[in-house]
Amino acid sequence: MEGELPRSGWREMALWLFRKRRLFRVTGDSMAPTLASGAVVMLDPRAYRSQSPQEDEIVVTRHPRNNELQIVKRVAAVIDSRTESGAPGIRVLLASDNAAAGADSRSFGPVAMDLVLGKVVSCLRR
Amino acid sequence: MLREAIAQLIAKTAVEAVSAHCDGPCGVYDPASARIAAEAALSMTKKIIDLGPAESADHNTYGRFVAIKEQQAHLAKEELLILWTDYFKPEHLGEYPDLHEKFWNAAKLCSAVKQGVDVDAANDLMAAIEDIHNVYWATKGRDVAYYVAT
Repeated sequence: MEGELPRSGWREMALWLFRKRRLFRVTGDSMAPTLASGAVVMLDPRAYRSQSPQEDEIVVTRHPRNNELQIVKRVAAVIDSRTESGAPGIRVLLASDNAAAGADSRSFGPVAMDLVLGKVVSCLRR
Repeated sequence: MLREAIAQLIAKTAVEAVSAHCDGPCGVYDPASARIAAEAALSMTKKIIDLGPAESADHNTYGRFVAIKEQQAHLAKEELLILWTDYFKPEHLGEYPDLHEKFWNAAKLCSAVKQGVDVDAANDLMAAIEDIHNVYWATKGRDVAYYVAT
């Protein structure tokens, strides 16, 4: 289930140059071995504008209980609960690759999409 | 090779951090927990002195007061160390270059309060925690008044 994250190629770097990608430096080991502490990843902030997250994708979200903290986790499940008005209410369950470390949805529950900053699409440095 | 070299150059520009930390990042810190413990240790120090010489005081009461004083002084040290190592980050040192000194001195004062019956050390510890309180809330951009319970 734990897909490897591709290395950033020329196309990704060009997209970063045109501000279509954001860079994040990972601190901590909860996403090891996919991302070690010190890894640098590229985020596509527009990835979920037209489509929902899929299982196994890696996302950056704000921590549900601490707005200032941004966390990187893998989507374990997508919960699609339509509201009564029919508007989509999508939430994601997040998990750490290194389950022994890191707090995730086991402790903070499903995360609403408005907290999700985007999809991690590649890494510059593992 | 060139692609990898450019990738490493771009990677160096990454300033935003995302956390994949091992502890539950509740992010709730407050120097008040250290202050309460230090204040309890100060109170017990005064109570021990009020009891008079150990030989004439009730041994059970004396022993209890000493035990509580040591326990609270140790707790104050633990709370300070958590604040120091878990909340404060290298970037705070830019604005507060003496941050390590402040915590080191405060932790040493906790030891002095724990080991002896020293009102001066207990008062110095309270002052050190007030100082840390001011630094902490300044880093949060908040104006939080310092207060004591007694």
